[in-house]
Amino acid sequence: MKLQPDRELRRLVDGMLENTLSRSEAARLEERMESDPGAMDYFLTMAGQEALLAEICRENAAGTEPEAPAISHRRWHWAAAAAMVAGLAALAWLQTKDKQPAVISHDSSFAQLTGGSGITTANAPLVSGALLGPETGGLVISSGLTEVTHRSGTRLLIEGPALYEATGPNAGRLRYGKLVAEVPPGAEGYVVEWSDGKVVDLGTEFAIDVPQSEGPAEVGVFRGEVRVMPGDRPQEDGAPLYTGHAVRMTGASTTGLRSIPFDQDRFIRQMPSRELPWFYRGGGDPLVWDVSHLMWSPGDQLAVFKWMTGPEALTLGKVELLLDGVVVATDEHPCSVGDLSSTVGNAYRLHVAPDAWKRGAWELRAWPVETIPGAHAEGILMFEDGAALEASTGDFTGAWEYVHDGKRYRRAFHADGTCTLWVDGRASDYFQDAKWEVKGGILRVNFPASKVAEEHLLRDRESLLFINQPYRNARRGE
Amino acid sequence: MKSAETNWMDDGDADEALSAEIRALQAGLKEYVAGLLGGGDGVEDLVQETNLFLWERRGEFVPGTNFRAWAMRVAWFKVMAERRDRARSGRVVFSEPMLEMLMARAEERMPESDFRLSALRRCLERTRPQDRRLLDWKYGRGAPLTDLAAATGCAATAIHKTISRLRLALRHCVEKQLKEDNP
Repeated sequence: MKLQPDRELRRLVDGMLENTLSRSEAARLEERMESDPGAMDYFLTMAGQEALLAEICRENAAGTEPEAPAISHRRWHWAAAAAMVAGLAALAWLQTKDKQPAVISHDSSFAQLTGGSGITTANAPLVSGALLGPETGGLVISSGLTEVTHRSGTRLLIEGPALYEATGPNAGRLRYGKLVAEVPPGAEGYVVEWSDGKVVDLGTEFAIDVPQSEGPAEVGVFRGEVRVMPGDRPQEDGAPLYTGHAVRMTGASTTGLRSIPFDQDRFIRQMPSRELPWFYRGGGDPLVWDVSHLMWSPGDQLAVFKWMTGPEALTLGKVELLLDGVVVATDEHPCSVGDLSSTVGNAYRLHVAPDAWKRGAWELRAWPVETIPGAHAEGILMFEDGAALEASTGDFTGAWEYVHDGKRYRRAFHADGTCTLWVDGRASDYFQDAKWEVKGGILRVNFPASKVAEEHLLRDRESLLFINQPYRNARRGE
Repeated sequence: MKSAETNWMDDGDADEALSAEIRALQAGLKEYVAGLLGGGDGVEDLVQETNLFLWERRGEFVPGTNFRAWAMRVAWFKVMAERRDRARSGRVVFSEPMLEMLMARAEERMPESDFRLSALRRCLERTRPQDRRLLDWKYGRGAPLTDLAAATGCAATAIHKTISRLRLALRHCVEKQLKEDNP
């Protein structure tokens, strides 16, 4: 029969696990364990469980979006909850694509650019779908985050500044930058080299940081196992590195490696979502989102508020963008976010001057105007970079498909300014006599019998956003 | 120095075998080190140092001898060094006589570590979603209770109680699982 711990033993063991015991309490715990083998077993079980929990929870966290915890007996503070959920991100089209490995068709290519966020380059702009291989040279980015998918299915997130070359269907060379590799079953053996070392994956998720200037490279394993080979020992099998472990290249040890703590927060493991949920429950406190992973360069940012559900509309008066707690951009105008007929002015433009931009803790704050007690509204903030505002008529022209309430919709914007809607394959008269136009990067569908226009924004050439309708994003159709 | 017994194996095979031995010991080493250090804090780093040490000195291991015992001895010395550093920085640590007692019992428990890991996985799968989220935050992200309290707007004592309850519930569940596996 296992020991049922009494209140004191539970408190002492919990205190030891949390590192909050005083010396006298620790002495008391020793006394209990010395006099009772059952108490010692209880402590060892709980301490061991603590270590194993860390291993399992970390494995499970990989590839999923961690969700903010809620303690059931107390209500969430909505702003804190919104900020936290926003920081963790959700719903991006790029993430949806993650679930379906990209198909790379060009024979001579080894990999493909399958996504990006805030990418800036010194050369020609990069576009999603660009192929990488022996004929294309390396992928060079000054800042931002790119997703590269190798032919093998190995998916890389590369954070700029970075230079990466795809040297084989399941191999590459990182000249500098930060890289997180996710190697799915069947793609084991992915190899990435840098100037003074190489990693061979054995089915895992791992990270490499190769400094652009002088400094040793570092390798860490989120889950699974890799072999690390310092550059001066290419003939060796390499040192094994397991889940949660990290090493720095160094010539000062016999293996050429030095064990270091793995600072996992330094690396981005998921393409951050540009769609951040908001939950308004009344009151005048600002809604707050962490947008640090979406701020990659100066210029215009667009914050578009979309209502999804709730009996009230959200009214805002001002939106601010802050860097490390200091306001760097503001757009002040009245806005109402509700259903189609009650949505006005829901797009805020925030300009960040070049000298005001740097990597740091970026936060977006939206200030409610009307503070209706007990109000209830929920929706999504779409935080887009300047490129979204440059879309022209030609970019929108064509068919777009989406699903809403179980029905399949297809809307087509024709070059002559008319548009058509199909619902489950049948033509609808919803757009009869309606005309569309593009102003300032935003598409408006104007209905002759109504003053209310439907509005769209283009996130990229494949993703059409609904600004004032509670629909999921549309994808470009055939 | 390599023993004559390894002659039939080339270096690659021997290294592969040793790597597999290290991999198989991970859960046991983590439990062992956590028991001696007094919790999960610092366990990963210390086990990692132990792994690297074992790998660096793999030439000294004599096949056929007890690899687990060797690994535990290495981990023990790493724990002692860590304990010394912690004591110097003013942290509360176990006395040496107590550590000796804990070591002896932890060694006896080590062969069942993989069973406990497997049982714990199954128990976590059955955990209520809201509890699982809290555990993922604390253990997957390593968030201190004070951060969780700030993020959720709950009192730290409430979160502390919830974690304590979950620890105990998981312990019960693991024991039940182990009994079912070995009636």
